[in-house]
Amino acid sequence: MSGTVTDVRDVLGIDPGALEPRQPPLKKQRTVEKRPDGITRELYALLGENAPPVAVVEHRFKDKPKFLGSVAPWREQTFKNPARKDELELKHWVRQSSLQENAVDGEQDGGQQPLPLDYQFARFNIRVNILEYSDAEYDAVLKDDDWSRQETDYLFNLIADYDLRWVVIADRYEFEGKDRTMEDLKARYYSVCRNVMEMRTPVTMMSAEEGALYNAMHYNKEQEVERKRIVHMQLYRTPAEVEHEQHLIAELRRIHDSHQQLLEEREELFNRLDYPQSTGSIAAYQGSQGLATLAQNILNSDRNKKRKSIVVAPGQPAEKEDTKAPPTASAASPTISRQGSIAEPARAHGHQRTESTASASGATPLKDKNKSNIKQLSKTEEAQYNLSHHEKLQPGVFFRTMKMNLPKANSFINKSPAIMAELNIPQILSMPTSKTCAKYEILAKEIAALMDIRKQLEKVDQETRVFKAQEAMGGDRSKRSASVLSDASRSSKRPKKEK
Amino acid sequence: MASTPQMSQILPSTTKPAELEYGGDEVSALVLDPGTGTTRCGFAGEDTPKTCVPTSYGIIPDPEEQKYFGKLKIGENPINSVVDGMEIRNPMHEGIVENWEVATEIWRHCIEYRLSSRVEEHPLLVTEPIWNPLKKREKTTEIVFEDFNAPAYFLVKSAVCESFANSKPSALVVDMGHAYTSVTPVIDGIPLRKGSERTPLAGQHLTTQLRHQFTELGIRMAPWLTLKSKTTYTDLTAAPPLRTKDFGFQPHQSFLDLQQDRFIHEFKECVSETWPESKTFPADINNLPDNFRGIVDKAFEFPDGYQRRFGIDRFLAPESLFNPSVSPKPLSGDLPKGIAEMIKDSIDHLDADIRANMLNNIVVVGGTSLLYRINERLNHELMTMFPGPRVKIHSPGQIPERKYSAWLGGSILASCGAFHQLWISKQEYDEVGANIIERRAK
Repeated sequence: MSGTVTDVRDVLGIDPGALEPRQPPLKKQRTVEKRPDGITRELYALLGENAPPVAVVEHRFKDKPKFLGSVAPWREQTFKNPARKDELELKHWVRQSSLQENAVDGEQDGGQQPLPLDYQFARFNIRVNILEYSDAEYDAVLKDDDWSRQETDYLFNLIADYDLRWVVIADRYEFEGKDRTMEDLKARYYSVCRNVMEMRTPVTMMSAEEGALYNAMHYNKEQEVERKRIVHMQLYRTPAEVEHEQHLIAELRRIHDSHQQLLEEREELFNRLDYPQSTGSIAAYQGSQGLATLAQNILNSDRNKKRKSIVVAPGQPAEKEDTKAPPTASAASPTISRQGSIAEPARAHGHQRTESTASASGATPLKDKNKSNIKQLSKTEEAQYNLSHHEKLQPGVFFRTMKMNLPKANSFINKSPAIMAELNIPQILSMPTSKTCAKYEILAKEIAALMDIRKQLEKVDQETRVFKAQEAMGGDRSKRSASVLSDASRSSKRPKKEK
Repeated sequence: MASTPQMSQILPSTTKPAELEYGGDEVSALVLDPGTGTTRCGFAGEDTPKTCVPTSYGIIPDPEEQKYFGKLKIGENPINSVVDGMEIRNPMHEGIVENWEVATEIWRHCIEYRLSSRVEEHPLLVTEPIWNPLKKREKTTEIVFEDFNAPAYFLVKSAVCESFANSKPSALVVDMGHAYTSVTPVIDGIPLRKGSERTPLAGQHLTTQLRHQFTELGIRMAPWLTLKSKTTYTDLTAAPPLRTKDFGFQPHQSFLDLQQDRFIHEFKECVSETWPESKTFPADINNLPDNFRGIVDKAFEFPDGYQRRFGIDRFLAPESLFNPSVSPKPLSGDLPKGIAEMIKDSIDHLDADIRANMLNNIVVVGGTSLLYRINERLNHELMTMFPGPRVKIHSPGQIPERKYSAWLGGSILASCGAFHQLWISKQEYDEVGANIIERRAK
């Protein structure tokens, strides 16, 4: 128990010395009282005298901050601003130490501090360089019917005053009541600049820098006026226009987004359709070990595919990225080669839109609805649309003719071409619809049966001949059986006659 | 060890402060921001003016003596004390100084009496409204150099100060003051003349409207100062008799008006509210539709003890700022434009390229902008007017910053190191004359 108390004190950071006066009663308690039954040890430990729940903090004032070194004195000092043309002297407070750095001569008596050489803010006094023209230059190239010399001078003064801030210049422009727009002023200024520059150095002689400046001075007034008109129109759109625009932007974004999705879906489809083309040599798989690794790889990829087809729900592009990159290299290569030919954005927009709206409003309930909405087709309609129902479809691509259920017997495979030729039926169906395939299957079966019977017949004939020879030799024991056999062969020949 | 967090924030006296930090360089300049309601004055570099003196002054007209120097009552206490025959006047008219003798006295009172400074020792920065005519600007220059003998001086447009105070070199400044609400586009610290607009729909207008509203209701507008005691009542028809103080004379009507303005001002602060949307404000407030919602009554007690709950009528005066046609007291002359229309006009005057930028940087300052929900309303109106571009209203959250924005901007400007080359010195004034102001401070 005392152990817990000291621990608590230790955690709370209480001086262990403070514990001492309380120790005698603690000891007494321990000797006298024994924990009664029915009270847990933890609860019992909380009874009696304990460490105070709050750390005791001594109330006293904060320590004085300890400054290192002595306080540097400040002096009020007059200074001149080199950016000013007059002799105005203002006073500001400067630290003694920095004074000594700046001063030419540190120690002078009588508070007569020498002026610092330079005022630190004077370097912010920057003006834009404005082109100036002489009288001769003006007379040579700058004459304009609309602009007098005085007005041009006035404009250039204003430009210098307001550092080419055109908005302000146009605002302050007042010359003999003339109404000039900002475009007028700009056009005049830039044409003056270009003309003067061209006169001073012909365009061909200009340095790269001058040439760039000369080209930058090109100002197309009509274009600017038109641009401002459009900006103005853009600014004063009606709420309906703004709404319409926002709607269009949203639509565009959706199309853009779904385009991406469409590409992904197509790619996946191609992935599924493509069988892996082997690009490398098969030399690696020729040994028994190579074959084992190949089998393992195929098994793995199969397993992955299965798992993913369970995980990936349709219309979830986030997880589609996984299926996009199959683990085997051989399967990945056709994917990449296909990508270039996929881009065909415009076609599936309508379809994509409905799909994205469906995903917005919650995909699963809509899907259920779709299922119940499936139209039940009649038999004739099914035939018309060439619909067929299968219990199980084999994965992969195949021809219907490949899946036809044909007799497997060797004799059939060897002899059927001749029979088909005899019946004027091509060996390979030119139009293998499900109907023709079914008919073909029946035909093949019958041919097989016929061939069987013919074989039987030959056998029986052979036997008959043997029996006849025996009969000739003596007795007619087996006559009956032979007649039965010939009956059977006659009846089995009937289908061929019908055909 | 415990004091280290605090210590790290204060620069120890042993280390040298970073040069060019904030670009500030104190030259102990004074900043004076004279307005119609109050005149603000203080030291540059501080964040609020040291003193704020009512621009109204008291005077006992003496028909025999034309000069009245020394007899002016300037300051909060003198103008609010009851003196026989004292009239209350204002040296400003339409936001600019009319009575120069008095204005000079008020400025001198601010600087010498309130700030205890000698004006000839400090550069002086004075603000002016954008519509201040050249003659007045020259007169100000004359006073500063001739009467005050200031070493350096500069006159700066208050709109520019306000945009600086909100740390914006370019902004559309909407200043809702006492006498005027002005809209000024500021580009790189230069105010544009063509887009500037102003209207008397401001604090004074609200006071006039509210006074009219109260008179219409039949409320006795006895100010606090004239009452001995009060009994609270809610029925105007059964009002107890007024118990007024007997001064032995009748205070001048202008004095009583000033006293009335004090509780009307309080009404503005506590009860008045701006309707947040323009369209939903009821056309006829006497016949509210049954389903009309959104009004919370607020109670107000007038100095004579009359208690009343104000419903829709407390929205009326602020509504007249945006829609002057609903003013309780019909306005004389042409109906002025509402504040939102004025901002639209101002924007329309601007170059198409900067309009979007201006709409994105609307700075709303001034005491009247503290009216409850006025920025909400302004934002709503502007959003309706300009559905396309982004409209953003910037308004300082601190009340002093809103009220003294112009002064604060001046304070920033005058303590800025790069500004010191702009001061007009006494020497320059002596060489050129008062006209220098037109050349230097355009």
